[in-house]
Amino acid sequence: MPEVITRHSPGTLRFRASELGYGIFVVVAGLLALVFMVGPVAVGLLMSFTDGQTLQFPPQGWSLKWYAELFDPIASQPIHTAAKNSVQIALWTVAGAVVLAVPASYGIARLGGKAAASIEPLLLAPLVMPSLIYGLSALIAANLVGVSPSRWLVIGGHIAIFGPLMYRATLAVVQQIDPALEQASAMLGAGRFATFRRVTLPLLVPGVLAGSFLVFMQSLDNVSITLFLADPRTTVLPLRMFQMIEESLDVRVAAISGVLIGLSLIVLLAVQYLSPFLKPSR
Amino acid sequence: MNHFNSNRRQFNLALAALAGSALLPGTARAASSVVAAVFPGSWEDAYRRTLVPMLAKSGVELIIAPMLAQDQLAKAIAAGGKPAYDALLLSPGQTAEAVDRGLIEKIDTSKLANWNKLDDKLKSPWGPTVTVEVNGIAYNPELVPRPKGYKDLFTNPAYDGKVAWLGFGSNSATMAWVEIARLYGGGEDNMQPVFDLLRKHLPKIGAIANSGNAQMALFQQREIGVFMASTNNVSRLKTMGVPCEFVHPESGSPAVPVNIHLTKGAANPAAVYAYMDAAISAAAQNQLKMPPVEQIPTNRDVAFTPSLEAFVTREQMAKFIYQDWVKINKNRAAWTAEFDRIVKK
Amino acid sequence: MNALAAPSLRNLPYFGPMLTASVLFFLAPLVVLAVYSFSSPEGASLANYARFANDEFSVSVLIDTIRLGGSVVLGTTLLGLPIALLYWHAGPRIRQWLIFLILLPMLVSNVVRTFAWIVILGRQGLISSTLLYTGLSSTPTNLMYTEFGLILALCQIELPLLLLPIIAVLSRANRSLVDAARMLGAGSWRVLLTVLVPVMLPGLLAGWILVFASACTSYVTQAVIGGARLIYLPQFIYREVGVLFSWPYAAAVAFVLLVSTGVVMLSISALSRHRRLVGHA
Repeated sequence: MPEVITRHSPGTLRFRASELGYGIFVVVAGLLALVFMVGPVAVGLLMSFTDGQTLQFPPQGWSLKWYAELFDPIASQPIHTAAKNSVQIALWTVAGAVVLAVPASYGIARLGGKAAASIEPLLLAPLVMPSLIYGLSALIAANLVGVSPSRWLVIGGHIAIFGPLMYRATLAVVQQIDPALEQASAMLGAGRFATFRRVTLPLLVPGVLAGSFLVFMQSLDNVSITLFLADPRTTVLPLRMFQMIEESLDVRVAAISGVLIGLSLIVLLAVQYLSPFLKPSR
Repeated sequence: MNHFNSNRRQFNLALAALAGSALLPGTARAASSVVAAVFPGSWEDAYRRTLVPMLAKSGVELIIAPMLAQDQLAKAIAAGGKPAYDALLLSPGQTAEAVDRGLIEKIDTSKLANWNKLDDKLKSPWGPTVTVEVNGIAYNPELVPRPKGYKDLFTNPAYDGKVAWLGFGSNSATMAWVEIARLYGGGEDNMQPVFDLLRKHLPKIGAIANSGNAQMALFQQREIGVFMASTNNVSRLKTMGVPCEFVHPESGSPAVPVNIHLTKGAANPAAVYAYMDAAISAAAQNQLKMPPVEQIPTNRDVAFTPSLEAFVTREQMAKFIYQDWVKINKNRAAWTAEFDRIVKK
Repeated sequence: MNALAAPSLRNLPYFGPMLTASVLFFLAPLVVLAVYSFSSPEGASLANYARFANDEFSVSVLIDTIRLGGSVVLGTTLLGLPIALLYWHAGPRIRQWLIFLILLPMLVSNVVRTFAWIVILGRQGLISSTLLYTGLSSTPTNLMYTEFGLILALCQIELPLLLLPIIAVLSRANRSLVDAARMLGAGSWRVLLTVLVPVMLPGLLAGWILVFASACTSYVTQAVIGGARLIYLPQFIYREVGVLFSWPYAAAVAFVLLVSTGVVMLSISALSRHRRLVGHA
């Protein structure tokens, strides 16, 4: 039997000799692309471990002192405040995007082509809206209806602009789900909503996770929307970081990225450690 | 009108505080408070450290809103009749625009106890100058010889491929271009000499960057050896061991006064005056002249530190060049467009 | 009731809330923007749009912007497909590591990424020194502030936008399809083209939309990695707003950007609704 590619115990790839060309292509091209993708990240990360006073490559000696400085509650207090604001806003934005965009992607995918095409521009346009322009027009619009800048306005703005990322990421998964599955569920007597909750939603999880990550990072990186829609005392992390480089090539900026990478690594290891317990059968 | 505005604002803020109190940090305000826009980063930190406690003693709550000058202005314009800030912190390019659009008010100088401690050049009717940033040329002595002035950078081949420039989007670059125009027979209303020079010199330019941020990285990685910088910038790089020196161009150093302005429709003008007065007081400036900010003091009672004097002395201050930003702003759109057309690849 | 209205009503509870939020938080500001873009000293007019259309330079900037988006879509696709295949053939543990690696470019802040690209692309940078060292070039190569350098940087930054939707789709894909094709005697390349690519397609199209949108509008990356000599519409707009304060013109240019990039995205999105192209796996 021409079993070309066999999946083995976790962590291996195997190709049959007859398909060597294909195997080599996948492995070589894939690894090269990975190196390209990760290389600049490695450069940035290495710089954060410098023993020197400023961000530079190659780093001068190695030390963790900039991480210590970053976690110092007094020296880095303004960074902590800004980070707390940015993370809070990003988390609310993700929550809002999940609640609004995930059902929307399902609903629109099950619409007829014409109806979907008429709604879609509204959900895709935010992706190409320059955020400075959006921030200012939203501020003007809010003023016209008598709404003052506030944290909630910021979150609403972020959901409007970054929610479509979630919509598009989950839509891709919805489009791949066979409607026959849902029809089967309906034939077994489940209501529409019960079908969505029990059958469709669990299938959407990978899309929702991908979307959540994109929404979270974009929201965390945004300056203009927050700046214009927040009440004046709100400081945000990316603006602070931009200024830290411009003023003094502050290494803590790289350390912040290092911390984000470290957190993701912890999540990954936790998933790897826990997944045997979470997925009993398959 | 003022009364109505302030009432409505307090009502809105109270609402926001109410909505936010459950999960977000509160936004309640003291009876006498000022929302002051301040440049983010070290400025913001220095003002928090120095002015906030100082004003708190006299019963004024100073709320620092970190924002770049251009964003302050944009937000003020968008906010229409409901100003987001009571006080702005701007340099002359933006001040001229703010005056033009009627966003700020002339101040009543009799309300500032420290007003007469300022030099005449630093007494703008639109608000006191709290510090002056001095621009010049920063260079890496390990890569290039010491330049004498702007002309050197175009005539001496030692600088070919080593100098970074910015376009007219940047205030400090615009000032350098105006000085260069003057050297070649132009000025605030004639940029043609610069454009001619650029066309000819373009292949020999090291980099035309788009932000001060990128310039710093280029300089640190030795991609370039010269950029237009302020004394503060260079002093900070030097303290951190980056090979970097500052040159006052022989034609004179363009200076940027940084002013606090009273917003039209500010909720509490008295508190804004208290803030202005504190910012130009000897007590505050004696702190603000120290590292890491090292702001050049404008109050005559404040002595320069040796570290400041390594870059600027009080005598040199008299010779600084203050450019005409009303004229510059009038031409800026045309200059920007022309610059783009020349440099675009 | 016609055929179009019935599914709309039935699905309203699902997309209604998102639609309401979009109308409140996106359409309302958009209307403000539209009003601004039609305002001129002589009252409501198309003057701002005419100014843009009649200026050869601005139009060339628009074309460059769309072309940049297209190049980045092409680049990320060429780089992303091999990674997606690697993911498809990998076991669960390697898959998790791959996901982690794919997240990396987005975890590094803009300012650090810029610095890293200067380290890589500059005259004194890694590419240049490698070329010198290996003798492939005798003079330093400067890729910084070139269109090629910018495309490279954007491809790296935006690979996650392409790969995450593809991976979301692949991780739910049904392996039995591939097995069936193999049983019918199809070779690996054939399985790739006839089974895998169609399975990936909804994810790929979603990725194209996200990458295109982001590449066309990522002001910071375009500005700091592209430098001042490469001009794209977002920079143009930011300067009109923040430096020159000519808001009506900026609003008109923003609309031009929205519409022209929007048309491209809508066409890609329409493809993803195409029955024959995107079959149900």
